[in-house]
Amino acid sequence: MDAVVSLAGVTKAFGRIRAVAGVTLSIAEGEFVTLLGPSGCGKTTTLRLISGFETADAGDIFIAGRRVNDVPPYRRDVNTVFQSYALFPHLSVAENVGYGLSVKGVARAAIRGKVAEFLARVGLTDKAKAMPRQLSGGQMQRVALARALINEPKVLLLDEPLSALDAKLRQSMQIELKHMQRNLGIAFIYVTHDQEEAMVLSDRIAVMNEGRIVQLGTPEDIFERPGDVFVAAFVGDNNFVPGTVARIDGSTVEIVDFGGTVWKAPLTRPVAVGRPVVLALRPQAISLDAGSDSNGRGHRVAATFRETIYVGTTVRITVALPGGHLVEVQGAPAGFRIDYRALRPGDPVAVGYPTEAALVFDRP
Amino acid sequence: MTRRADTSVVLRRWRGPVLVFGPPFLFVLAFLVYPYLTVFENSFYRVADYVVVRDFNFDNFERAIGGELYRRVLYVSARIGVIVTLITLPLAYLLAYYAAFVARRWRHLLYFLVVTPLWTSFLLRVYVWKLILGRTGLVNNVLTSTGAVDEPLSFLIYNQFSVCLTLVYILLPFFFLPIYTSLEKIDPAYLEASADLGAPPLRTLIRVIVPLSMPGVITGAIFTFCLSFGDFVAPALVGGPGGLMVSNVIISQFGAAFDWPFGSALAVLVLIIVLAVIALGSLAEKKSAGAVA
Ligand SMILES: Nc1ncnc2c1ncn2[C@@H]1O[C@H](COP(=O)(O)OP(=O)(O)OP(=O)(O)O)[C@@H](O)[C@H]1O
Ligand SMILES: [Mg+2]
Repeated sequence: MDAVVSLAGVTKAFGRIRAVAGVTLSIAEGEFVTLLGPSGCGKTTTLRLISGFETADAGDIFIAGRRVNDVPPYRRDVNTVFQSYALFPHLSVAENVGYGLSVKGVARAAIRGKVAEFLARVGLTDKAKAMPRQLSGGQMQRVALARALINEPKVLLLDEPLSALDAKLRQSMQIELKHMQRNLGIAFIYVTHDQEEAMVLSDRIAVMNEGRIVQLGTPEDIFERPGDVFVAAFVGDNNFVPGTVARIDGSTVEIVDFGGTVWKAPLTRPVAVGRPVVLALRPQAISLDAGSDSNGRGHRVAATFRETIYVGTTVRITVALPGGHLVEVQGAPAGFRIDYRALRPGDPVAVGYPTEAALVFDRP
Repeated sequence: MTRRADTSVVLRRWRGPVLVFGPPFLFVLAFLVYPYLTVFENSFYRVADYVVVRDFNFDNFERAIGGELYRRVLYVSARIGVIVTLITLPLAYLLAYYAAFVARRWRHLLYFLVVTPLWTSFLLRVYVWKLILGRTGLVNNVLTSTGAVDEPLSFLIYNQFSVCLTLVYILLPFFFLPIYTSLEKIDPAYLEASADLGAPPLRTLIRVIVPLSMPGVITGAIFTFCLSFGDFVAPALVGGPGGLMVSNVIISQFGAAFDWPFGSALAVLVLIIVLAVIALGSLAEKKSAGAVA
């Protein structure tokens, strides 16, 4: 077994709140795994169970094959990059970075060499003597990273490390993090509630909700084959149309929504006629045609135009189905086959999509 | 025209601050600055036939510093101040550490228990030690009635030991409070970061908690030293002849000896020493606070 960290049925409750409710997860050497989920779903608690700041009520936690449930944090071979950085305010940047080696009794000269090496890695050689309060947010972030990585842990835990940075810096730090992780070959367990960040960084994503992992897979798995409505809604945008299974025709399911519109979707798992379901359709998968045009590809349903929102790189168009349900269409401004600028509210339009793009879930 | 407008603007701008800060400023002036100036002035005069003669000279200071007796009292007082500070420090630190990091649900009760004695009379709290340490006090009663000793122990009271013991008890809250305050301010994330980087609890204490609480320790040490150095109740009640301190000498100069100028000179010396300690302390505090903030 070459998992660096594995959790087996780990549970942790605070009073009546089940923060982590039976999490099972195994992380391979050098892997980048992200815990993704809404606020309060138990991401931080899961990390703290691994680092040892919380003790599990039930289940087992292994680090490098050793059960560590009863091992205190300072004897676990993991390191953490804290959300608030938690740089020691009374120590210089170099002393902060060298702290881990120093408390382990490494010789001074050796510490100095390693500190210089890791400061160079994060590009802060000239800040060695600075105090933490003299650094910018991005610089503190790098120091926190160097301070953790210098110990060469089996696995590095990062709790929303970029959330305090502005959008631009965040993007460049994401790339830096990813490169650093590849070069060092250390496994990262990364916590975020930003699904785009998770996509960019991860080898695998564990989507969490209410203390459980609801889906575990590669970014493509999660995005293209979400396991349930929650994942489909949390990862990327989606239109959800509730309806009932009306007909099954070979490999295609026909669904009738509450307004009587008929939708088609691929039959990916067994469903029975009459079953209440939800059809999910990404705004990017939908094309828009004039109401009269009938030679579009894929399945088409009639709708009326509502409004256009111009977002620069994309345009978001909202249309209404006969039953009143709203559907969002998204695409590059030049990618539309009709002149969306000429549309007036109430104009008839046709919503078209390739049948394979639709997903069907049980209605929760 | 413009001048009148200017005046009213100035009036309006200063009316608030003057109303708010005026009274306390006057109070300090009348009851702190003026008496100190009087003491300072008197220290350069002399006494003849029980009358203060306004005859400028440095004799009082020569007598205070040059005289073996007074130099010794100053030295003994300072030494008691240092000893009390050094003994109270670990006690206060342990107590504050316990309250801040270990006690959890009991921390408020503990805080309350440490601070409550400050509400009772200072005199009473010193007097209690007379009842504990005296010849027929609690300790001797227990020891003689159990037969542990035949004669009541006499070294328990009326010496520097009893003065130190009493002052440690009296001043513990003054040392505890600033340390507790600075410990409570420490972000628990620092302690977790330290553990995360491999430091066992004792290491974290030495490398993180102690440095971050230094401002509180320094403040507490200044309080404790200055208050014990200048105390006169404890030496008066439990000090005896061997436990005499500089404040007792000063009081006797203003009372029985009726030598206000010499008493003033001693008071000025005490003030200088205390101010020097405060200045050094604040300097150290600023340095450690700068590192902490
Ligand atoms: N020390 C604690 N005491 C009581 N409840 C806690 C404690 N820590 C976490 N919880 C609760 O456990 C649940 C999970 O919290 P956790 O911090 O793990 O969420 P999270 O996924 O990290 O959320 P966020 O994205 O907001 O950081 C929440 O309901 C939270 O209120
Ligand atoms: Mg969190």
